[in-house]
Amino acid sequence: MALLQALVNGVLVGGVYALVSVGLTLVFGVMEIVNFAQGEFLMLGMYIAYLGFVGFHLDPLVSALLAFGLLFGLGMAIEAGLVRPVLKGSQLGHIFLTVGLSVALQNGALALFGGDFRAVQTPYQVSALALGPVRLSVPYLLAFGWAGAVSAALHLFLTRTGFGRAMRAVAANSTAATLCGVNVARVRMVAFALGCGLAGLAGAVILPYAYVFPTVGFQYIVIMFTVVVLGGLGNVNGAIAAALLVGVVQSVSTLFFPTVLENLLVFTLFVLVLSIRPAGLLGRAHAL
Amino acid sequence: MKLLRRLRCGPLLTGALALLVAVVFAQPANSAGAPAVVVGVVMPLTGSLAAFGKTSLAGVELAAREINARGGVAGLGGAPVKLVVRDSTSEPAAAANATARLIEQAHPVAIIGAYASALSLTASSVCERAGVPFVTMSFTDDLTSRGYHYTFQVVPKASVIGAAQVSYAAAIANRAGTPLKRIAIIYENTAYGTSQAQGLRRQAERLSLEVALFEAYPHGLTDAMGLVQKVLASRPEVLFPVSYFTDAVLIVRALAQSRAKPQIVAGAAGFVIPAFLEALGPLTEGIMSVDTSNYDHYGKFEAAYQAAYHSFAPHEAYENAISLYVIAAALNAARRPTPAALHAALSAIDVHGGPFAGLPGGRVKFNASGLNESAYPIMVQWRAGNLATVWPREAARAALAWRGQPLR
Amino acid sequence: MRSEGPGLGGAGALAAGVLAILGLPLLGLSDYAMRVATLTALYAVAATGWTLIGGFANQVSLGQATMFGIGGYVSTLLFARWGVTPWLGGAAGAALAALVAIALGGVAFRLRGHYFALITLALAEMVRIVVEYDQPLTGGAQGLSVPLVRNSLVLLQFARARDYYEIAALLLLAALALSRAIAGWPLGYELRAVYDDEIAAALAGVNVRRAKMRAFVAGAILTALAGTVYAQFTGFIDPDSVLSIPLSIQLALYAIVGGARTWWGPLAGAALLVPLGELMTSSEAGAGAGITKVLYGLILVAMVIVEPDGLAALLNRRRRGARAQA
Repeated sequence: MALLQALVNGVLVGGVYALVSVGLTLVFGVMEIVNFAQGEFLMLGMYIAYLGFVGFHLDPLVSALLAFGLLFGLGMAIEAGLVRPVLKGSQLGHIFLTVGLSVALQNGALALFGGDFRAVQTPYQVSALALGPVRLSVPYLLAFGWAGAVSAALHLFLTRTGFGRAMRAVAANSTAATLCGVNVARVRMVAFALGCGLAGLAGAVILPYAYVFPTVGFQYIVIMFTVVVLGGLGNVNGAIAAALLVGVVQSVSTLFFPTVLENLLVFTLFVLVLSIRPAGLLGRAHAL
Repeated sequence: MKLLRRLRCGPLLTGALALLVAVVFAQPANSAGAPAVVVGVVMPLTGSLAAFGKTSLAGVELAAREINARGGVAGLGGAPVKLVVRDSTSEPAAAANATARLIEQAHPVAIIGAYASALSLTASSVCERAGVPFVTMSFTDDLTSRGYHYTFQVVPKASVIGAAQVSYAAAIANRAGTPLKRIAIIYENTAYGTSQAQGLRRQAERLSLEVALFEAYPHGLTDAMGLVQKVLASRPEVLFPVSYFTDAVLIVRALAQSRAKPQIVAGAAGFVIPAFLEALGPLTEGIMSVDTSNYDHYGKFEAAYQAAYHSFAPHEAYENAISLYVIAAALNAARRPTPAALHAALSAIDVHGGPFAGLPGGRVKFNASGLNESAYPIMVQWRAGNLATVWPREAARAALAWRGQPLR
Repeated sequence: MRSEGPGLGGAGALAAGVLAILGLPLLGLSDYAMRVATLTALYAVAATGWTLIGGFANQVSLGQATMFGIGGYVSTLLFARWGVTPWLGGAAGAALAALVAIALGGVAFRLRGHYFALITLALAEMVRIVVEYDQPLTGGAQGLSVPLVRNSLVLLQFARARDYYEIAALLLLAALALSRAIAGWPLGYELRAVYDDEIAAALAGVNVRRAKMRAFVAGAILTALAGTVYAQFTGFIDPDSVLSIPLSIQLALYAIVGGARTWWGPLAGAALLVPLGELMTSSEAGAGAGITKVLYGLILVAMVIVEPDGLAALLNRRRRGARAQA
């Protein structure tokens, strides 16, 4: 019974992890940069949803679309102005850039919104559906729904649209894609913007059960990296599978181990997978 | 400053200097002409603790304004108090740097800081070496158990707070006629969480309570469902969480989704700040917490804080204000504005009433290790959106409810 | 960026540099300035430790804080529990860091590029979790306070920052000398070969794994020693301050900003960023909180756009430009 409940909780939490991480893996797949500022885009999405709630009584699940749009725009600007000039350089330059960006965004939020903790109260955030002996948390269920919708939309975009296919082509081999006439620069810009937009959307979606303050992104960044690595860097489907796995492992492990060690187990998995199957659980890195 | 000059940060430095000079000269001149006495304030104004640094600073500033409006420090010829503030950030090494810089540049007679225990530990160590009194409301036992002479702790220490959390709850349960048997303790894996939880557990064992769960969790949870499931599985009558705000919110929300609802008796921090009410609204009803002081006892300070910041004064605001009031009282007795004279006066001080009335015990008197011995913890409870002192009975300002039942 | 000889000019300049580093306290700087200088030197040592593997061989580790933390924890535990002088404790810390480096390297060196970076991050987090968990041994998340004994060279504790600075400066000179020497040793050539192309290097007969491991272990020892002095200097350590991801990133950043492929880059980066970071935090009060740090972040961003390979590349370009004009 407890195990069943833990499994269900784990799947729900895993869905949220998938939503939070899918943008990071997309950006990595197309641009091969590890973006340390991704947590800050999540944080901005949360603030947008918070302001929408306080100023216009918009439910965060609705303002998620607004967060997506605004961060998509911000992402385009950042890609064109900051990322593109250093993209050709080494991995070191990427660390340098995204860390600087992260510091600037965290403290920009501090200067703008103050350091206070912010949260919203929605009617559904503390309700749960009883399904036999198992209880399903409604805010997680709604976030899970969003995660499913986003995954489906992303999948359709990548497989059914010309631009999506071009994106996969760039991820697989950017030189070959260029030779085939793909506008690589534009694809990268959209991919980065999409990554930012998805992080913003995720931030808004999780706000009803979470909270926001300027450095909240750091709490999610480790989970993001873990999920993205387990899924195979750049593999969208892999990240979703990995997110569900991490959610379940964390949730079930707390039944048997001290809670403080839940991440030790996750990291052990992380190291094992990297050592045995560096391409991730599904075995195809860069597959988008 | 020489180091900075060597680095040729010319324009920036000039700007910063101009700002500093402006701030210095913007202080109203004292009519009596006594030179201002400088008190340093080191608080986390950036990083993850920024929210608490801000409210702490607000409290000290209110106290300074009030002291100066009443004519400054009488024993120093009416010298006004001048605060010099530095950002400790949320990192221990930076807190030490900020403290050293403050001591050198502003020559304060004392320093108030730095809210979080880890920051206060390094800041106080710089003060100890420099011979400048460090007055704090941080909880951790380490502060006054290291044999330091210049650290003064105005509130009870963490292990005492943890013990009170359990013994008050047991006393309340007895009064309600349902003696406490089975409890669960969860605590964040930080300096504050572990030291307080140890006090809690020792006291629970002393009272022969059954500790069904004693569980640490990594602070900054992204979800609390697993933790709460574990709590519920241990079927406690009372849950004792020792958590900061973010985890507190997740834990309370996750508990609200379950059928069983144990009484929560929290360990201050995240459970007793205005943001907790903003985040949880009606869910706060009935939640109890141990605390080191509460706003329904603050009197004039609470009114002034409400007027200035439109929320109740969290305990760190008041206790940091108290730190300044103690310093002012000691300066008054010392009659010389030097760290050494102030240190002697602080060691001998015994003040009560007035601004100190809001502190449980109503008195500040430091023992040989620098701990304010007369301070004791209290129990507070959320009732209809207000945080009320409910225990011990002589300090209570409202009737309490135990496990949903009102108690006379 | 091919050859990394002395880099900053001849023997005269080198001697001047050594004198400048050792003689800094003679300028009569304030205690605070000496604190910042001490931290700069210690971070420069730790970043030099990072650059041996991260810069010279482009094996970007995001777990260097582990070594820093081991240095701090081992010496502090030995000192606080059994009164062992931190001079010995530091050596013990360095030895343990070397062993841990061999173990971690054994796992991590199977991977390359981003995978290497991320596995080092995960391994470092595992170490932090274990240290936080094992409270009876390590003090857990509460951290450890170094017992205060005031002035004692034997116990590596001083009242004034300038005394710590002299220790840190000597350590820095040793680290720089080692780093510079390695660049000229066969190991240095091997690491550069790995930097250029790992597979080609292996084909050319370089024992890639051994070269990486040697650099990693040497770097771990340097970083651990810096950690020991840091713990004595601040008097308090906890997992958040000496074993955290942000510290790992910070150490890499100092080296990258200065120029990760040069022996003096980590020092240049630390000497620029540590005081800059201080300048950006110290003067703010209340309402302006955060704004100066935004500036700090933006300066980093601007620097990487101007020169992604750090100050060293900028200087080299200047010098080449000057030569071309002459």
